[in-house]
This record gives sequence, C-alpha cells and structure tokens, in this order.
Amino acid sequence: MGGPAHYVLPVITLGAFLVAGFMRITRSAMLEVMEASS
Amino acid sequence: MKLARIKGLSETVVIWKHCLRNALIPVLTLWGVFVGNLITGAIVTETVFAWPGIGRLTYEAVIYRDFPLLQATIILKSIPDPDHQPRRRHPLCLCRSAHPAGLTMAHHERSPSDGTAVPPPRPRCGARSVATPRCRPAAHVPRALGPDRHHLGDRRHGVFAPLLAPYSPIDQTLRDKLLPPIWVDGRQRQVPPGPDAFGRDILSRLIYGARISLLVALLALTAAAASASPSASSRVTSAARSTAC
Repeated sequence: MGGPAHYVLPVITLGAFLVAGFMRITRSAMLEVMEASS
Repeated sequence: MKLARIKGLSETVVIWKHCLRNALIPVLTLWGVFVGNLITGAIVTETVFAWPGIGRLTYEAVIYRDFPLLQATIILKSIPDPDHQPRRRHPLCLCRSAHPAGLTMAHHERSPSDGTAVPPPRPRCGARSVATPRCRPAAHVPRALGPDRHHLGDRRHGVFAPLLAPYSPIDQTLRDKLLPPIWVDGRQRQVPPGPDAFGRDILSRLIYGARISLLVALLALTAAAASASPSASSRVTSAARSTAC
C-alpha cells in the first residue's frame, strides 16, 4: 500500500454507501431526543 | 436540553452540543455493527482498488483454488471477535528479524531424530526491518514459539501486524510451497495454515490483510459518520427553526 492518497477513493466508495444510513439514524435519534426533552 | 434552554443558550448550541451528543448513541451502535460488515464484505471493493486485504485474499484463493488459504480466510471471517487476552508471548518474539533473505533458499536440513526434511528458517516479519543489537537473531528462537501462538479469529491483531506476523507476507520460499497445513498428515509445526502456492506464509498474509481491511473500514465509517451527523443536525435545526416561526 502507498501513502494516504491511496486511501481516498476506497474510503469514499465505502463511506458513501453508509452515509445515508448514518444520516437517517442520526436524524431519527435527534428528533427522538428533542421530543423527549420538550 | 431543557436546562440548556433555561440557561438562555441559542437553539443552535442546544441542538449541536446537547441534542447531538445524546443522539449519537445509536449511531455508535450502528458504527460497531458496520465495522464487521465492512471487513468481511469488501471483497469487490478490495479487488477493484487492489488492496491486499482479506477480501482480495479470499478472491485470489477462489480463483487459484488455494483451499488452505480459502479455509483460513473463512475461519477468520466466521469467528467473532472475542474479548479475550492473547496468549502470553515470549519476549524474543517482539524482536524484529535480522534474517537475511538468502536464508529462504537454503537447502533443507535433516532432522537428527527421524531423518525427515526440515525446512530452513523463514525470514520473519518486516523485510524492511533492520537488525538492532538488542534483537536476538530469529534463528535462535525456539520453534515452539512459532506462529502457532496466534489466534486466527482475532481481527484486532491486524493492527499490530508487523509485531505479530511470524513471517513476511511477501517473502517467497518456493521449496515450501507444497507443505501441508498442520491439520494434514506430514504437518509442519512452523506453518499452521501452511504456505500458499508461491511459498508465502498464509498466516502472515492474513494478519497483514486484516490490518489493511481494518484501517480502511475504520476510515470509511469515520468519514461516513462525520459527514452524516452534521447534515442531519443541520436539517433538524432548520426544521426546528421553521416550526418555531
């Protein structure tokens, strides 16, 4: 393996697949926390 | 959050500092689940980007019909990561090797007990390693302290691959390429899964492959979480503001 530049595209490829799931979970969890505190 | 609002903090600070911190608990749970999936399921990605990770090892084992390597990769993927302590290692094993590469092609010695051929000592991990005066040469390390001290199922060992790998993952010993693994008759104690078709140690390749897969999986998960959480927080913030208006 080379330097950090060789990790950019693989990390983007694998990370983009997970962004939607993380965003959905984060949004629902934040709404749940806000509703619980209000 | 109520206390933060009572203190008079702005809505942005309340959401980003107090709400997001509590909302990250399920995200971290999901983060831990995805680590295992990324390590074991990145066969296509590792093949496309030519990483020498576990997925590519599996792919090569299937293509070349290297059954011992395939068995080792499947065992590594199927065994969960237990929370156990590794066995106590001999302090000599922490030393990096000072073996010259020429030893790999030396003639096999004969065992004085039964006359069977004993392969020459392979160069230990770290072809880039340089001999230091405090390191004892690997030829003096007893063979009982060889690679069988490792746990195949613990993927965390990949982080410390240069210290844990018994041999270099790229050094070839063509004389050893047909040696069977330890669970087959005629086993060699030095090589638990045996060498691959090119004489490279499978266990060392697995450990180094686990390191690369683990590093890329952690980077991908961190990047995904770091990009998703602010986006979700900003959407929630804008929604809260519009509701308040």
